[in-house]
Amino acid sequence: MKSKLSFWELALSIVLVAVLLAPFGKKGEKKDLADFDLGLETTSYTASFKSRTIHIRDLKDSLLQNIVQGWEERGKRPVVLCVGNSQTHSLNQYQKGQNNYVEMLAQSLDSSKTDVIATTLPNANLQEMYLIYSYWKKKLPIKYMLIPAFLDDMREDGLREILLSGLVKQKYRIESNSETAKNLNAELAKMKVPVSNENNAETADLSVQERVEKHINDYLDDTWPLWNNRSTLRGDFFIALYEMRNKLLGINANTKRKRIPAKYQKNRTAFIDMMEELQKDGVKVIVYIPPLRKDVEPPYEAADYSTYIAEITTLTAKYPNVTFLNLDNVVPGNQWGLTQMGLKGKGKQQTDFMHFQYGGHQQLFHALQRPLDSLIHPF
Amino acid sequence: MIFNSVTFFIFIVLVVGLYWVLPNKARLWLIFISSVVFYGFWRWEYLSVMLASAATDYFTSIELGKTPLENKRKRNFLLGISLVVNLGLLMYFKYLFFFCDNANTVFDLMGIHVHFPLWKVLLPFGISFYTFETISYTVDVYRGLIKPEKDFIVYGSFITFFPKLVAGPIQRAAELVGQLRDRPSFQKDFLIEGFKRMLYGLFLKVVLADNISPLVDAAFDQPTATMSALDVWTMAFLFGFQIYFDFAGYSHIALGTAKLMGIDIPENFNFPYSAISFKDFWKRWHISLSSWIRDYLYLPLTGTKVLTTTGKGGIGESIEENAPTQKKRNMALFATWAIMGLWHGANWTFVFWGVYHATIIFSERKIKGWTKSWNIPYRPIVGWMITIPLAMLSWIPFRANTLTQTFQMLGKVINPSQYMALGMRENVYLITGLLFIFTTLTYLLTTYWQEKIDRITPLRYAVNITKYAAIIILVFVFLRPISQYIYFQF
Repeated sequence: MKSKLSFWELALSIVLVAVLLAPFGKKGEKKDLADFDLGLETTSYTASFKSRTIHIRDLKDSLLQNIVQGWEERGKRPVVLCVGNSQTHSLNQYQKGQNNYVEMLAQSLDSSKTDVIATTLPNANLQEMYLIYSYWKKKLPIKYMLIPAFLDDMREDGLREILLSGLVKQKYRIESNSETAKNLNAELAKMKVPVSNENNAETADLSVQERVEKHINDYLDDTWPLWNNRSTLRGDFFIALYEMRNKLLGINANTKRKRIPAKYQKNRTAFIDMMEELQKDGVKVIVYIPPLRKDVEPPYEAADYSTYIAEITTLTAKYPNVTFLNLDNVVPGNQWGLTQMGLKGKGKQQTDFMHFQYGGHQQLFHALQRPLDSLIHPF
Repeated sequence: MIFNSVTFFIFIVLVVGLYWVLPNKARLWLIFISSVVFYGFWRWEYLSVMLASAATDYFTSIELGKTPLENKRKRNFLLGISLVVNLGLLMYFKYLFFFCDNANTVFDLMGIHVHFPLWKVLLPFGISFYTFETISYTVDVYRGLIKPEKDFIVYGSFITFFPKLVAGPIQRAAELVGQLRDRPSFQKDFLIEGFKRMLYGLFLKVVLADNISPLVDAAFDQPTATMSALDVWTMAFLFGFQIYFDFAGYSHIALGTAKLMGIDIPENFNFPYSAISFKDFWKRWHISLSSWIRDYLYLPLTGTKVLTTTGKGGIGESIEENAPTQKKRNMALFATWAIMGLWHGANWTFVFWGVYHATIIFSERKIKGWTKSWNIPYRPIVGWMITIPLAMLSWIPFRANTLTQTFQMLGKVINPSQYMALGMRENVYLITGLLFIFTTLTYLLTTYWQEKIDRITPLRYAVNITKYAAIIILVFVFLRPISQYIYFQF
C-alpha cells in the first residue's frame, strides 16, 4: 500500500461513485433469480389451475405452502409431479393467453381426478430433482412422476441455497440412506437462510450481530432503493463478465458443451438413487429425453449425446415402473426461437437450444399425455 | 462482530467519531469498552474466556515484575501458571475432540476397551490469537524485555484491541502498549490512510475471496477419482488465492481500523506470492504469527537466547542465522512447523502442511549449500518459478477434508498419466489464470511502477480516482450479510 492518496483524490472518487450509481437509485423491479438464465426473448411462465399456483420456480416457504393449500382445496387428489429446468417454466416469444405443457396436463388430467404439481429450477441438476421428489413425497401422494433427463443439467452440481430457502428454513433433511441423500443432507446442514426481508428468517438462533445486521438490512432495503437494487447490480455485473468471457473466447450458444466427469458422476448416482426410491415407493415414472432443436447444429458432440441417450435407456430399463421416451425430436425447428443475453438487450441474438414457443409446449404436451394417460388408466 | 458488515461500519463510525471527540484519558476506556462490545456481538457468554486469559497474565506478570531474577523457581512457577491456563484453554476448546478421537483410535488398535467421550465444544473466536498474545506478554516480562503494565485498562485494551482481536495480527506488548498509553493527536492523514486500507481489505475479502469461495468448495467436494493432476494444481492455486485474499483482506481492514485511531499495527503480509524461496515466503506470509513462532518456539528450541521482541520480520532470516548445532536446528525446524500446522487446526492435515513446509525448507538449506557458487542466470526469477508452485501445492493439505484426500490429490500431481484430462468447468481454469495474472501485475505495479505514476500528478490523480471509485462501487455491490473469514476458524 505504498501509493499516496490525498483527501481530494478520495473525495473525487466518492463523487464519481455517486454519479455512476445515481441511475440505479430508483426503485425498480427486482430481477427474479429464477429468470437469470433466460434470454430477453423468453418469458418465465408458471402454471396455475383453478386459480391456484401448481408450479413453482424456487422453494420459498410461502410458495411451498401455497402449493399444498391448493392441492387440499382441489380435494387432495393423487399427484403427478413434474420436475425440470427452465425449459418447463419458460415460453419463447410469449403472447398473452399462452401457457406451458404443465398447465395443459393439469387441465387434461382434471377429468381423471389427478392433480399436477411442478417444481422446476433454472439449470436444475438431478441431485436437486432428487431432493424435490424427497420433499414432496412427504407432503403429497405422488403416484406419477415426469423426469426430463437433460444432458446440459449433468454439468451442474450441488444445491443452491438461494433457491431452497424454504427447505433450509424448515431444516429439511432427506430420510434415506442413499449416497446422494447423505451428500445432500451434508450440504443442507451447512446452509443458513439468507438474512434478508424476503424470507423472514427466524432470529432466535442468530447471534447479536446477525440479528442487528438483519434489522439494518431490512431497514435499508425498505428505505434506500439503491441498497435494494444491489442484488440486481450483482447480477448485471456477472452477466457483463459472462458476456465478456464469451466474446473473448468466442463462446456462443452453438459451442459444444463437454462433459465434466465429476459432476456427471454425481448426477448419474443421484439419478440411480432416485429410480431406486421411486420403485420402492411404487411411483410410476416417465423419464424422457427432452426436446432438442434439430434444425441447427446442436451444442453437444454427436457421439457424446448418443452415448448419453444409450446410458439413460439402459439405466431406466432396469426398473419396471419406469417408461423411457426419447422426445428430442418432438418440437420442430420453427417452434424454437432466439435468445438475446446481455445487459438491456445489447447482446447478440443467438439460437436458443433450451426454450421453445407455445407451439413447442403443445407438442410436448401431446407427446407426454398419451403415455401418462396409459399409466393412470392402464386398462 | 465481523468486518464485512453494515453493523461494523456503523460501529466504527461511532467509535472513531467518539474517539477523536473525547478527552485523551477517556479514549482508552472507549477502546476497552468498544472492544468488549465488539467481541460480545458474536457470543457475549465467551467474553469470560477471553477476560480469564487476560486476567491470568495480568496478575502473573505483575507478580513476575516483583520477583527478582535470582528467584528462578518462583519465576518459572509464575510463567508456568500463564502457560497452563492459556494452553489449557486452547487444549479444551480447540484440541479436546482431536485428542480424544485419536486416543480412542490408539486404544482400539491396542485392544484397550477405554474410550474418551467425544464432546464437540464451540471454538471461541480469536482464542488462538489472544492466548498467543497473553503468553507472549508474560514471556517478555519473564525475559526482562518489558516491564509489566500495572494499569489494567491499558493492558486490557492491548489484549482486547478490537481491530486485531479475532484474527490478528498477533501483537507484542512492546509495540502496542506504548501507543495505547500515549494516544497520538488527531491528524487528517489517519482517516485517509485508515479508510484507504479498510477499503482495500474489503475489496480483497468481499469482492475476490467471497466469490472464489464457492468454486473452491465445489472443487474440493468432488470425488478425488474424477480429478486430474491439472485439476489439483488449479485447486491449489485457486485456494491459495482465496486464503490470501481472505486473510490479507482481514489484515488490511485491521490495520486500517487501527490507523483511524492513529495506532500503527505492523504489516501482516508482504506480497507472499512474489517469494523467491520458502525462507522468503515466511518473511512475507502471516508475518506476525511467523515472528511469534520465531521468538517463542523456534529460537528457544534451537537453544538461542531471544534478546528482542518484535512482531516484524517473520521467521525467514532466523531459519539460517541462528544455529548452534545442525541437529538442534533441524529438530527445531520440524517441531516448530508441525506445531504451527496444528495451531491452524485440530487435524492431521494441518500437521502434514507444517511438515511439508519444514521439508522444503530443509531441502532448500541443502540445495543452497551445493549451489552457492553456481552462476544461475536470473536466480530470483528461477527461485520464484520453483517456490510459487510448491507453496501453492502446500494449500492442498490445508484445505483438503482428510489426509486420505490429501495423499490421493498429491499422488495425482506426481503421476504423469494424470495430466491428460481436465475434470472441472472451463471457468475454473480461466478464473485461476486471471487471478494469477492479477496478483502478479499488482505486485509489479506496486513495486516497480507506482513511484513513476506518483511523480506525474495528473496521472496519479486519474489512476487513484478511477481505482478507488471502482473499489468503492464493487465493495458496495458485493457487501453481503455475514460471510466469515477463513482464519476465524483458527
